[in-house]
Amino acid sequence: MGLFDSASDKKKKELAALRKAVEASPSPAGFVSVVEKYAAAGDLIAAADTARQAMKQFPTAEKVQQAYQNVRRIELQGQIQDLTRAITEGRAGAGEFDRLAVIYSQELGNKTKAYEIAREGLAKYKKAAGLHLLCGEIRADRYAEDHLANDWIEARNHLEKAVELSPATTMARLHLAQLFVMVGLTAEAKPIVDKLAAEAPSETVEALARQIAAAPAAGPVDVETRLAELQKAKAPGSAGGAPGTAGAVDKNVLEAYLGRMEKIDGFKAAAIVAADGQVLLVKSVKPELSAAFGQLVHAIYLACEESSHRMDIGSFVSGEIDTPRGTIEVAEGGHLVLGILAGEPAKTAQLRKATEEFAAISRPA
Amino acid sequence: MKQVLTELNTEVGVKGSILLTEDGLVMAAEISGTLDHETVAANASSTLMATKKALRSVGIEGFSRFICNSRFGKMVFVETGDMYLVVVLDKSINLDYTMMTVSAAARRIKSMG
Repeated sequence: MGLFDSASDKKKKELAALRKAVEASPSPAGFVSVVEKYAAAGDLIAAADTARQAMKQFPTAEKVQQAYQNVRRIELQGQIQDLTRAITEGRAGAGEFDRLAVIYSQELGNKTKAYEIAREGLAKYKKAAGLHLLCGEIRADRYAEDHLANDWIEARNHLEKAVELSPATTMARLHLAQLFVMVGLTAEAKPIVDKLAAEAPSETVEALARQIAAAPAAGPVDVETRLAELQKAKAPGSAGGAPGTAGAVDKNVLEAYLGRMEKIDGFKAAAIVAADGQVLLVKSVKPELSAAFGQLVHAIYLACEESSHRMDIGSFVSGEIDTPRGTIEVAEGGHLVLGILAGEPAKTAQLRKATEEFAAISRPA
Repeated sequence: MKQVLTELNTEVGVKGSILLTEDGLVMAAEISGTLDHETVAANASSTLMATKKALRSVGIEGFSRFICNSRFGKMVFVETGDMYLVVVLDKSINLDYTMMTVSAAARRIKSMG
């Protein structure tokens, strides 16, 4: 007994020391490693606590998100299983769909899955205001992240439906007003905010009212035109900078970056292009490949971007193509698109790291 | 082949799978309820054709694997002899693990000739 206790204590101390070391020099991989070790040791409370801490520091790191979701999934396993069973056996009401979608959205941070569950629920219960509200919130979050017109339109449709079905729900009205303000439709937001200020005053409502009051007076706005303008303004290659330049990114930084890429063993070609297809920078071991490679990168970006939009899975982020001549990595970086072709002995991990670096340097400050 | 797609779709994070010919024609498709069958098929086909055309412009004939990551989902193309297996995936998956399953499905399809 004593022996086991002391082994367990030793393990706990080791993990605590490891956690401290990661906290002193935080990185997504370091946190994920600690979370996994705590989970393997059966200490789910510490695992969840560490995962939460990691999410606070690295909210966009995919591996951190996965580690957090895995730990929470174990904790919530019982509830998830019960609700999923009720849905698959066809005995779930709108409330069960709503609870499961909320678990995925708020507890696990998996908004895609939450949206799917809510949509599945809405296919059965068209008048479920809660499911419309959740779908509206998720599409509004997607719009804030990706600026695609379709997300905004879907968010508005769901939130308006939630308000129609449950007019007293403050949250749906608040989100709808925020959605209008997000794209500068302050005239549409104002009556909603005025009503909220009278019925359910809060700091958020007051802040929104101040934002509307500070906005310059504008004439009638065509929503579709406004959304199209905003979507275009966020597209790679179009947000700042004259044509033929690297936009907001220092061209010297990009040239230095491509210079580093050239040193990868197996490097064959790399190009940085704008969304309109303009080749801004290119390096190639075969000069005759230079112009064609830039066009190839643009063509792949365009095909993926258009398909992603039409399939409603957001904007293109990156692509990896294994070809007989080597691997091509393509990545969107804020305003620009990068493509690298490298063969043996270059490693895929090396190329992925290179595209991550590109994404970091090409995002405007 | 449809059976392979059906089994593949039971994996965590797999939302649908399609078999396309080299010309982009749909040979078989299994798509989950929340995705639109025709939209997925049409876009998988157009992406495949556009990518192959772009590669041809620099003298590269075809590809064995293409992973396309979008902000809220992924699309994977795996060559299976004279066809391509296309799989639509959730954003939040363990890609390395899922790719093992997808590759195994592609090998099974290839062995069916």
